[in-house]
Amino acid sequence: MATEITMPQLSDTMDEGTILTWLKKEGDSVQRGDALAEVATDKADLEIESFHEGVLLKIHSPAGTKVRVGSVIALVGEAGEQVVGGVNSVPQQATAPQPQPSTQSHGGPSHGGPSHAGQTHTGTAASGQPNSSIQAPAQQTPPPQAYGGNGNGTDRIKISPLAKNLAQAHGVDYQSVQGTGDGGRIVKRDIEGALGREFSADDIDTALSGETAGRVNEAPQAQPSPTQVSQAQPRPAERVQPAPTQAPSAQQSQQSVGAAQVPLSRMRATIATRMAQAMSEIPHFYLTVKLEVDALSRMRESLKVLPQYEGLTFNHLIVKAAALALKAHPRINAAYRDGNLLQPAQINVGIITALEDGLLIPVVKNADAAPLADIVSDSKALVQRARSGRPKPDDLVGGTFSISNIGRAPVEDFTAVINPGQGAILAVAGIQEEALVKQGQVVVGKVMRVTLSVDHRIIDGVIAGEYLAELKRLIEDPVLLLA
Amino acid sequence: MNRKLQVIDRPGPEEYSATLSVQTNLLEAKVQDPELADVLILVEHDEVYTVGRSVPVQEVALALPKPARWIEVGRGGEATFHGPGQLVAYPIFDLTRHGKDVHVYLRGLERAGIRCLARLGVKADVRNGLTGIWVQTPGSWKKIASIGIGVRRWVSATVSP
Repeated sequence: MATEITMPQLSDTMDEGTILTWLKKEGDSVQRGDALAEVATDKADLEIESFHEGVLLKIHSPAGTKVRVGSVIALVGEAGEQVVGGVNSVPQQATAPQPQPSTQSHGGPSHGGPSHAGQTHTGTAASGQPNSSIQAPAQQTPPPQAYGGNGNGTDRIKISPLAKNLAQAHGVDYQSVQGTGDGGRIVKRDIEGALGREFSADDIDTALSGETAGRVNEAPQAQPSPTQVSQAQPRPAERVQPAPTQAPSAQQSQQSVGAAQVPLSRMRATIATRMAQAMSEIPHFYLTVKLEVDALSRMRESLKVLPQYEGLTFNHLIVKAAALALKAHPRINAAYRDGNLLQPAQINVGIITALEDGLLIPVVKNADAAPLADIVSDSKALVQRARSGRPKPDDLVGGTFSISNIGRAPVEDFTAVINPGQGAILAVAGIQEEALVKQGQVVVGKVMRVTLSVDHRIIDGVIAGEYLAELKRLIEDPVLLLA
Repeated sequence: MNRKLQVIDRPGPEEYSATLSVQTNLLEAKVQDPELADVLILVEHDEVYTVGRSVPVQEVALALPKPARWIEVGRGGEATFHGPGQLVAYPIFDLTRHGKDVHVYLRGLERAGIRCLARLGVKADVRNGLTGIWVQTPGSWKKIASIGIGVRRWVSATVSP
């Protein structure tokens, strides 16, 4: 029986992928672990590896095709095997999102996320193993912890806030409009198409200023908070769209001072969308704590001469400390989704990794249980693969918490935007020497400030404070990071 | 100098080898950075016999009740049983802070054990020439805690009461 190869979900934000090239031809023999094809996702180009041995019987999605996660892209089976028709019951081309009931049954904390693989498949046995779905298994279990998804359930209509306000203001039924934006998202030009005219700058200004009120109505539990101030600002994603209007607009005034309009890269556009989504949907609040890191710094210097700790960085130590503190305070490791609290069984820490113009978030799995030496070797490999633009499929999925480290920049403290699908993020600033008062004496010590951003829908100040107290205890007596 | 004692309560029952590797990591780190705090690991193990290297393997296999898991450890001495219900404490102490004398340290551990038992209402004592902590029962003394020590560069490792 031939095995269906489906488009795997290679990152939490991935709804679809574009086949760049097939590395095998129909009729080629395939070993487990062979790279079958290269796929471009919203964030990176990745290889799809085969979980199966046999012959590549049929390529359903030629190079250049956009394919939704979970759709069958190829069949692998035995040489000479008859290819049975009709396997491809999932639309291959990107189409409007369709409701897909969640059918997974494994014990992981995942839920009905977007575009789960394997739901329309029949035949081959389910693998049923968490963490087994990283490559391209047929009848794939959904990636564990798909809750890290982008929050756009496939049963919801994807529409930019600006487009929604414009549609409502001009009486356009956007539910029947076909989106042409990222992943089928409905954007301004789609509403213009439905209306049969372009919006003026006044229309857009009105829609933008109406946004705050509109969103508060939509989310009655959201309290007015400082984060909502940002909602009245134009979304970065909207700014880059051409707006050929007559009246002077923000874009035109930028052009008059010689601003160049450059289309965003795929990754940049995804970041723009996700960050805007995070700031408009998640009521953030922030807590900063000062950590004394003389002992941490000394331990790092002592340990990094040992082979198993070669390349030990402060960030590795913070990943470990953050994970141990999450174990003590699991609520910080949780996420809000559609009126529910999602409490993952694992503690998987994402390391925000800067690229030339963008970022990736490789994930250290089970960071609470992993010995420090494993965290060092895992994170070194993860970050290196992310920076080289060749992350493994599993590298970017399953995060339950994130850490953003600004490194050597002379920044005393900063706040980070929560990665949608998670409940908190830790912003780690640089280390500096400061005057500290100890037992009535002024002494010089190394300090580092970290700021926790939390989702107030599920996390209150007391719990966030307790989490930071535990983090401080672990960092300031770092022997605890070794147990 | 950090005089604090950090107590690490491991979720149990834990595989002997898992605790051993935590212990090894801590020992190595403390040898490397003597300023790190002393640590006391508290744990219960899965059922296992630990066997010193001096005991021939055949002898062990014949002597142990079956089925039994056993693991060879880097110490002298005979087989020791660990299992759920038995509390194990592993002090990773820098002995230069505690008198730099293994015998003084050993007697200190015995005294600490006796004081802990007294708090639980158990009267225990030491016996001349016999390491460990003992309880007098009608007719005989019974060992309530055994003690074993390994020391590397004045940092202590294994104790198994």
